[in-house]
Amino acid sequence: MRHKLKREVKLTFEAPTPARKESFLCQFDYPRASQFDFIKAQLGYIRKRVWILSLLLFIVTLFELHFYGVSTSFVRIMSSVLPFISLISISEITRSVTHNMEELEMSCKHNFLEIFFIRAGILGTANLIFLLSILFLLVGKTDFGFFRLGLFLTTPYLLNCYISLIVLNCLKSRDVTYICGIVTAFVSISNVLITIQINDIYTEKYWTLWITSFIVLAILSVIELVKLIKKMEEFKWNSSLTV
Amino acid sequence: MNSYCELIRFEYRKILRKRSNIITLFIAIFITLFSCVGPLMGNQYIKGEIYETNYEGMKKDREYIRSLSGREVDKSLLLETIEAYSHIPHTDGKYTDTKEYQQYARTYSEVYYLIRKAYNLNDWKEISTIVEDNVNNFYHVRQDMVEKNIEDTTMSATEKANSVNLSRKVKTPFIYSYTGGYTRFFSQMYTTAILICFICSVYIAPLFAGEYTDKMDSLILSSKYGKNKLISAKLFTGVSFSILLSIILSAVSFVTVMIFFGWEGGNSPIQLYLPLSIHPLTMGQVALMNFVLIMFGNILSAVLTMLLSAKLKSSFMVIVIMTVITISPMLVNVSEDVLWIYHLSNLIPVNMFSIGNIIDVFSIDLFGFILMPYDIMLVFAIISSIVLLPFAYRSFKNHDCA
Amino acid sequence: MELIIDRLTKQYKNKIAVDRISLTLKEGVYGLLGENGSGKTTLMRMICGVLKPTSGDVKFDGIDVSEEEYRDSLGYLPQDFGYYPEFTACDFLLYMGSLKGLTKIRAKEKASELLELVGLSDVSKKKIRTYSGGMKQRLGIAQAMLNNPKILILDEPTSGLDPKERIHFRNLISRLGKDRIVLLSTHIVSDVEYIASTILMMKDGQIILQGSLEEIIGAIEGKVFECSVDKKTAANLIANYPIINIREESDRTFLRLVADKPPCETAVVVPAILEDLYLYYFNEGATGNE
Repeated sequence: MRHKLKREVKLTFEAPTPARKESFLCQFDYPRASQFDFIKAQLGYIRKRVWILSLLLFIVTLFELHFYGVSTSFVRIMSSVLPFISLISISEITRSVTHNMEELEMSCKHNFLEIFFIRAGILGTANLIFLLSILFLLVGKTDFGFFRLGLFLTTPYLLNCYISLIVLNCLKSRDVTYICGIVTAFVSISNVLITIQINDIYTEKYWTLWITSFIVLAILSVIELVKLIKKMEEFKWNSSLTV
Repeated sequence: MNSYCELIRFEYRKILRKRSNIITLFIAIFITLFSCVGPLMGNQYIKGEIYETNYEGMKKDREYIRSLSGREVDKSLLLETIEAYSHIPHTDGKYTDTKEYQQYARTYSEVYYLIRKAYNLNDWKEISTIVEDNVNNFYHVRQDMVEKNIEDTTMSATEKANSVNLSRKVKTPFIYSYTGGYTRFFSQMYTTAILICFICSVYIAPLFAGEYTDKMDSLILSSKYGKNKLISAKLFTGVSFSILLSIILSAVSFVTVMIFFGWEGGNSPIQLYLPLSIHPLTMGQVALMNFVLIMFGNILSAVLTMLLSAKLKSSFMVIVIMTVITISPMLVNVSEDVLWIYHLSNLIPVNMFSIGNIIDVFSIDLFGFILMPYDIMLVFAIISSIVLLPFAYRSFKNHDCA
Repeated sequence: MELIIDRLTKQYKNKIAVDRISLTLKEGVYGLLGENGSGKTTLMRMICGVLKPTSGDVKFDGIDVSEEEYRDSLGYLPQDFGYYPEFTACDFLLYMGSLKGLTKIRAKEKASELLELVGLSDVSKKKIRTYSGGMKQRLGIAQAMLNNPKILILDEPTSGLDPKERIHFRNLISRLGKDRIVLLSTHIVSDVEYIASTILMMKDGQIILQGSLEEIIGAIEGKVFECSVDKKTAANLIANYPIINIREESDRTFLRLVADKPPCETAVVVPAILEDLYLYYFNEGATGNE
C-alpha cells in the first residue's frame, strides 16, 4: 500500500531539480586507499608470468637437485639461469616505459617513483626469497659452503643487474626491455662459456677474483640504483612543475 | 632485381643503424680478440713464484716443438720422450713444476700426450712401464686403442665396421709438427661460434617482430612488395648476415690465433691433436670443416630466430627463447648410451660447433646409408633451414594487423 | 575503375566487427563515419589486405586484394602507424618507395615532391623520433601517396593536425578524389561534410546509410529544430529527443534537437547538417524515446 502511494505521489508531483548537488557531494570526505592497499594493488598488477616462471624455475631446481645432486655443472646451470630471474623482474619494472604509461603514472597521486619503489621492492624481495631458498637447499650438499655458493650464484646475477641498471639509466625508449634481454642473454651465455672453458673456475685459485667481482659489482649496482632513483626524483620534480 | 637489392640494402641499414647493434658488434669483436689471446695473459707460477709469463711459455713450447718438427713419430722419438720423462723425480706436487721437467721433458710434452692417449696412461709415471717392444708397436697399440674405443660404443656392427675401416685409412707414421695455432683455433672456435650465434639472434630477432612492435606491419603488408619480395629480402638478409658474421668472426679468430701462435701445421694429421681420432684428415681440413659447420649451424640458428620472430610478437621473447636454445645443450650432458638421442642432440646448432661432436668416433647407419656425424649435421642444417624458411615467410605474410 | 566489396565479414570469437558489407566504390571521395568500435578500421584493414576477412571478397577492377597488382594500386594510411626512429623522413619515404616498387630515382623525386607538399621539406633530414605527432601524421599521408595510388585508404588522416593543416589536407584529398577512389574515415564530421562525394555511415559492423550529403541529410531534413526554453521544459526535451546542442543561457536553455514534429511551441525548423544526422543515429539513449 505504502509503495503504491509513493508511486502515485511520484507520478502526480514532479520532484524539483536538485540544487547544489555537486558542492553537496564534494563536502564528503571519501575514504582514501591506504599505503598498504596500494602495495596490495601493485602486487596484483605484477603479471602472473613472473610468479609462474619463478615457481617453475624453483621446481626445476628441485628436480635437478633430486636427480643430479649438487655438482659444478649444477652451480653453472643455476648461475646461468638466475640472471633470467632478474630479467623477469626488470621487464616488470620497465613496463611503464614500454607501454608509454610513465606520463600517466607520474601525474597520479602515487607517482612513478612510488610505483617503481613498490614494484622493485616486491620483486626484489621475491628474488631474495628465491635465492635464499636455493642456497638453503644446496648448502650442506656441496663442499662449497654457504658463502662461496652464494658468491658463485649471485655474481652473474649482480653483473646482469649492474649492466641492466646502466641500460635503464642511459636509455629511455620502448626498446629498453629488449636491450635488457640482450644483456641477460649475454651474461648467461658468457657465464656458461667461461665456466666451461676455465675448468677450475670454482676452485680456490679464483677465490679472490670471485670475492672482488662480487664486491665491485655490488657497489657498482648500488651506485647505478642510486642514479636511477635520482633520475626518478627528477621526473617527479619535473612533473610536479608541469602538472 | 634492383628493387630486391634495394630492399636488402634497407634491411641491412635497419640492422646497422641501431646503436645497440653496433655496440654489440664491437663487444663481440673485442671478446673474440680477447679470448683468442686470453691464454697468453697471466703467468705460470711454480711454488708461488712467477716462473714465466704465459706468452713466454707458449713461445718456449713452440720453439721446443719446432725443434722436433719434420721428424716421424717413430721408435727413436718415443724412446727419447720416455728417456726425457725418466729424469723427472717422483714428487707430491705437480711434476710440471720440477726443474727436471722443464730441463728435459718439456720439449717432448706433446709427444708424451700422444703416448699417454695411445697407451692409455693414467699418470706420467706409467711412461716408464712401456717396454721397447711396445714402443716399436706404437701404431698398432694406437690402432688397438682406437678399435677398442669403437667396440665400446653402442653402435651397430655395420657402423662399427665402417668406423674401423675409416680409422685404418689414417696415414702413419705421423710427421711431427708444431700445430699450436690450429689447436688453439679449434678451442677458440667454440667460443667464437657461440658469439656468432648470440649476435645473430640479437640482430635478427627484430627482423619481423620489430615490424610488429614498431607498428610498421600494416604499412609494409599493404605495400606492393610487402607480402612477397620484402619477406624474401628479409629472409635473405637474415641468412646472409649469419654467413657474413660467421666469415668475419671466424677470420678474426683465425688470423689473431695464427699471428700469436704460429701459422704452420695445416698439413699435419689431426691425430697430433686428437691422437685417437678415426678420421684421416689434416688439421687444415678439420679447421675448414669446423668453420663450415659453424656457418651452417648459425644459418640454422638464424632461420630459427627468423621463424620465431615472424611468429612471436616481440623481439624480447625471441631473444629469451634463442638464449635458452643456445645455452641448454651446453648445460645438459646427453649420454652416448642411447645413440639416436645422442645423435639427435648433436643436431642442435650449438652442438654443431664442437669439434669433438663433428669428428667423433661414430658412424651412423641411416636407412642403409653409412654417414659420418659431420655429414648428418651439414645435411640437417641445410634441409631444416630450407624447410623452415617458408614457414617464416608464410607466418609474416599471413599476419593479421590488429 | 571500380572497387567491389562483396559480403565482407570479419568475426572475432563472439563479436562480428564487420557484417556482410557489400559496396561498389568508383572515383571520388568516400567518407566513412561511425562511432568508436563500429568496424571502420577493420573494414579498411580488410580493404588493404592486412587483415584476413572471415568471408567475402575485395576486388579492384577484377584484381583480388591478395594480389601484388592490387597492392600496387593502393595507398594506405593506418590509424596508428609506426616508423623507424633512427630513419629520417627522407630515408623513410625512400624505404616506402622501394616497398612500393618505385625505382630509386623516381622514389627520390617523388619523396622530395611530397615532402614539399606536406610541408616537411625543411626537416626531411631530421630523424623521425624528433617529430611531433602532427609531423608524423603528415609524413604518413606523404607515404600513402608515394606510388600515386588509384585507391587511397586513409584511416583518420586528419587526427593530430592543427586546424590550418586540416583544411590544407581536406583540399588536397578533395583534389585527389577526382581521378581515384579515396576512402577516409574520421571522427571529424565537418571534414567528411566538406570533401566526401559519398558518405557511408557505419554502425555495429554494417553500413546503415550511404549516399551523397544531400541524399542522406534528406532523412532528417525538416526535423532539426532549435528552441530556447525554460529549465523544466529543457529537462523534459533532453530526456525525450536526440539533442545535438545545448547552450545554457542566463535563465533559459538553448537546444538544437531532432524531432518528427515541433517539440515545443517556440521551436523553429532549421536546415540540417551532417553532424545532426550523425548525432541522430548515434545518440542511442534518446532515439529510442522519440
